[in-house]
Amino acid sequence: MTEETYSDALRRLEAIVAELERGGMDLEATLQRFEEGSKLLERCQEELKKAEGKLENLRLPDAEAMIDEARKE
Amino acid sequence: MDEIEPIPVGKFVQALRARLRSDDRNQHCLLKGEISQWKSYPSGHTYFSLRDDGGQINAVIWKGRCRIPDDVKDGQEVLVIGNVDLYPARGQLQIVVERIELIQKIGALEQQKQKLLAQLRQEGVIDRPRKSLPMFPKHLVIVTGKDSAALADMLQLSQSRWPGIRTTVIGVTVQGERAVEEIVRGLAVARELSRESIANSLASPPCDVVIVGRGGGSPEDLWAFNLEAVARSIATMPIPVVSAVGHESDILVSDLVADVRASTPSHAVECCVPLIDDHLAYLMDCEDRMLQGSLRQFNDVRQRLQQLKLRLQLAPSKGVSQAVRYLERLGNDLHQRAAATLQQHKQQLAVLGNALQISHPKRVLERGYMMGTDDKGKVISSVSRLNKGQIISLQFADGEADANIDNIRQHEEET
Repeated sequence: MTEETYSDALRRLEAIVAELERGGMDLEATLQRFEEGSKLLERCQEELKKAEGKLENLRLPDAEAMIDEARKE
Repeated sequence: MDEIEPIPVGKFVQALRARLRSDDRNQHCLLKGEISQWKSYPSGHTYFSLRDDGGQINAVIWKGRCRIPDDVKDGQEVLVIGNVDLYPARGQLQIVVERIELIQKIGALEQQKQKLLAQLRQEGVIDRPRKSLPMFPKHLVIVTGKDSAALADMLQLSQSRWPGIRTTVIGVTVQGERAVEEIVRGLAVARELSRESIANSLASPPCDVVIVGRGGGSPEDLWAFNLEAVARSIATMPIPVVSAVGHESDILVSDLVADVRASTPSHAVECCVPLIDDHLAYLMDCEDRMLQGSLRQFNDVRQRLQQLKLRLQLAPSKGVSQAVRYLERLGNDLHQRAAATLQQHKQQLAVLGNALQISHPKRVLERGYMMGTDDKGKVISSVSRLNKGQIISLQFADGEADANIDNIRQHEEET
């Protein structure tokens, strides 16, 4: 998910939450919103959790060597 | 009483001057300040003001008294050794300079910085639109002093905010001769890491934000961040750069060209790394609200359905009983109305009966009148129907009698 789509997903999710809280929808619309909202929520949560937390602490020459290696590939 | 002798002002000033010059504290003072209103006269004397934010004093360099450094200009910081004197003709305090030195390093560097800023401003680099920071950076690159305290602080803070954030640290030399070159090379590595192709072959997300900076230090220590190569490297970076050099009060060229200026390295981390718990909590709150909202919707619908069901169940019997009630009501009405009508009619009949009774001829006869009838039993209501000698019958209430008509007298007809 790109950043844009994350923000979009969040905005859409917020709109759905507001709609559901406002009430007055029929059963089918409620179900449809709930399903859409659940999917959006899952996508957003995944986005936040999927980062693997890798930390590389390199000195400049090692960092440059790493780039050189990557360039060769 | 003795009169106080007025002192001629000249004498007073001269005495003041003598007193100033006799005080050792006013001799060979070492002063630091900035030059302003520098002016050399054809006479060979030079006048200027020595100033800083706290105050200023006039200064004079008598011709040949000391060596004057080349390229002395207003705004330069100098060290001055001189004596305090009072110029009697104007009553003006001044420093008579014995020696003057430019505070070469910083003065020149400051000048260089101002010149660079002017140039960058002219090129539009300072005022160019800035890139905004990603909400959730995928790959943070930090270019800073290797093994520095600032780096340790940044990593610790970053971990506490978002343990999942992918981070690459490029440890460089941030002060001294090699600093500029290494910082520029470090930024070049960051630039490479932002390329899709390089990131792919390293199996990492492309770098999407860079922090460049160092902890606090003397102005000289921070100076690399005031230099053109670093500034240009920052300004041309394809991804947002946060400049975080020294303390809050240090403002460097790198701060002015970066996309974001952080006051300290820790502040830079706060700018770049989201507090992920807040975001997760917010998402959980959204989830909760969505669930509650949906449940309420379902409950509303269920309640509506139950009400409908109940109404449907009750509908037929309710209809019949209503109809029955209606009919009963109608029946009652009818009965009541009929009775009322009947009563009315009875009364009318009674009234009519009375009226009839009152107007019956027999009742009239009872009151003393009599009625004449002819031989056919027909009531004679006019004398015109009588003839002389005719026998008529007179009807009384209690009987009848025959009468013979002798005279007929008809009344004149009234007009």
